[in-house]
Amino acid sequence: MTFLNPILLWGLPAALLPVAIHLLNRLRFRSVKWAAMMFLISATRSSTRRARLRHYLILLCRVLVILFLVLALSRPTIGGWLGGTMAGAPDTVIILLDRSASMEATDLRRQCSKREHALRLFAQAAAESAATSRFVLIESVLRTPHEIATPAVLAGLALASATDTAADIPAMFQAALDYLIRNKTGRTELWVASDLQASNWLPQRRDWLQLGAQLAALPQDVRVRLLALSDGYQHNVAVGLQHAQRRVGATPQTLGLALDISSAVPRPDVFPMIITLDGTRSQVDLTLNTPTLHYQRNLELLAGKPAGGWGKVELPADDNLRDNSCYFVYGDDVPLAAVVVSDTPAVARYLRLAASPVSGRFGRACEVLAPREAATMAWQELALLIWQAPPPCRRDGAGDPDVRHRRWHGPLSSSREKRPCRGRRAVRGRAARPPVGRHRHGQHRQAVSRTGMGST
Amino acid sequence: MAYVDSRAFLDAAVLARLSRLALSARGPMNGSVTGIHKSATRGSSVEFAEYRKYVPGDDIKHVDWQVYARTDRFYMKEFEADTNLRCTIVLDCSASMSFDAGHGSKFDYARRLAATLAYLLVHQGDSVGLLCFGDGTHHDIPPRHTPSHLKHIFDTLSDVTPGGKTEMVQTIHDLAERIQQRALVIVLSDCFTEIPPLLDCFQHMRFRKHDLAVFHLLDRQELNFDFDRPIRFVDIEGSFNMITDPSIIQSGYRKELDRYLEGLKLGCREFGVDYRRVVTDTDYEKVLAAFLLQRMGGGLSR
Repeated sequence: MTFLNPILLWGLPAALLPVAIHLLNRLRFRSVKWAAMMFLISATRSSTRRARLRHYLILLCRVLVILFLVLALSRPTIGGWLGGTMAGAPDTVIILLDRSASMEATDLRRQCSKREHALRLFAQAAAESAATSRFVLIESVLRTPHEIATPAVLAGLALASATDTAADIPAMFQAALDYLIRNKTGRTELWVASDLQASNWLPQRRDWLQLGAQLAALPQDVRVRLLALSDGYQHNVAVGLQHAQRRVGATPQTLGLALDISSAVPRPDVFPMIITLDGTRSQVDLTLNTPTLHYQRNLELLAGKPAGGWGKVELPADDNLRDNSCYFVYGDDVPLAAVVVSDTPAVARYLRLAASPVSGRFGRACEVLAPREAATMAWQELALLIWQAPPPCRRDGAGDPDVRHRRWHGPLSSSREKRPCRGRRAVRGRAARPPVGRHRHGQHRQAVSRTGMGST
Repeated sequence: MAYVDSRAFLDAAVLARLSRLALSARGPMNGSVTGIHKSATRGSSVEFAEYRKYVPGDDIKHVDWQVYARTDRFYMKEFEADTNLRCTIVLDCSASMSFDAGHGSKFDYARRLAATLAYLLVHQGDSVGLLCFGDGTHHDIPPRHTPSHLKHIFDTLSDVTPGGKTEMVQTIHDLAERIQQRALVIVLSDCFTEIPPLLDCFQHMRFRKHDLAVFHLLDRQELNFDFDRPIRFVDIEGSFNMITDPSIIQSGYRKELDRYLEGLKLGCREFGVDYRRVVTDTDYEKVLAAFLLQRMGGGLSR
């Protein structure tokens, strides 16, 4: 419950005024000479108990009247599910679901994650208004409004499943605001389920002020109901991979792991950490006397093994299972092959130099092809395609959708003249995926790592 | 009426208005002289009473000769006797009568009633006496019908002050035994005593064939008990006191008082007592007028 005029709550002690007056009256009495004492004594003897009880009940009623008056003047707004029940069913309910990794923390009492618990509560809360309300889901990954029949179906939706990502709550509110403006909904409630992580809510963002003003300026009645799942972790140790670096100069070859291990509370007790490298498990005993531990370890690679491999780091199970393990891979450097498709030799020369300044060095190589030779490209091995020619198109003159432009680089293309396509010049293939992970110049080998923990 | 003007408890205008009414007894009285009340014995008035057989020694002037001529038997013709009334006014002088809520005490009110009644009785030829009882106060003036006696009564009423505890029951018992002839007894009291002994003494008085009228004097505040804050009630007849919140016991007090008043009223009706509840903020002239008119009609108060 919140109050719109909280300063009036200072008037709450006024509820004690009837009690104070009662006590003062008891202390300040006057004497009266009385003749009919026989009736007075009889009345005191016979009906004092009931009358006193009634008197105290009246006193209690007076206290409650003042109490309710002060509370009413403070303009309370009832939140939670009680407020929702009293306000009746809204026209539209927009569910803002925080799917960040921290929402997968398991509560031992409920035996489910916070996200699952939130979905369950949403389903229960919407049970009465499901027939009259429209439900829209905005989750933290896509932040796109999806209309759903009822929150009861959320448990089976991939859109509401667990992720390892972080959440941008202000952006989710902005998406909800855009939806409200665009669809002109009636009385609307925003149901927010989150564990109130500062990294997700971003309280320092200035968007909040603008969002608040925009929500308040909406013509329809918009209420925000927050399902705060802010119960902290009692026991949670997280591990994250900072980098995994293969060193080939040393004998034997080693793989250097840099891990970040953190805990909400210090763990002075010893707990094991299992490191698996190419199927070989090893255990390290750790203690956490500080909230964060930067742990480095060199793992010896077996001689005669293939050039690449993988491994993972595991911690014992705790409240949050999602941050107890991380994975890494390693392997030989893959030369980054680039192709410049151009029908202008001078331009092609500059583009080739930009893609690979020194051929054969820095792990980069570039080849110049004419547009008619593009069909011979090995797409699977390419890291970069620079197309400086009219785009290939189908026989009917439309743009050829088979050419797969990769977003991660984006083809550099320019068309100085438009020429109609006379034949099918579809170029099929698949560009080589660039290595995911850190790429450092000057290193002979490059490790490719992937962590299993999302940002929380 | 020189002795009237100097008394604060007498109002000449009220006396003049009430003098037109007569205070009648509800039954035959035994008076000493001729008066306006019916006597318990036969007399020589003009109002025929009955016939009875002649017995030797009867005065032959009362023989009805016409009846003798028809029946050849002697019958005596008897007439009603008119006599005067002997009234004793019993004034409660206990301290409880001094209760005053702002518009005069019950004792002052009772004193006005007593003085007015005494005046009316004397002026209609009846005898009136006064009995003031209280703790340490006892004035017993036997009934007389002379104006000088009336002055004596007024002087006594002027001098007497309320105080002490109520000894009403024993006083009335003694009075009932002491009055030999049928008389009218008027009690002016707040009757703050237990009902059974009070009714016993009333019954005793009625058993002695006295006409008993009770003016039960109550203050308005004693009836309503309308206090609004805690009060220490001090017993006006003693040192007992109690601190209580009137709002808590108000209903209980009223219930007890109603129960008492109803019991007393029913008891008085059962024994034929002319019971009148009088609230002291009522004009005493109206109270007396109603009393006299009802008596003239021969009924009891309701």
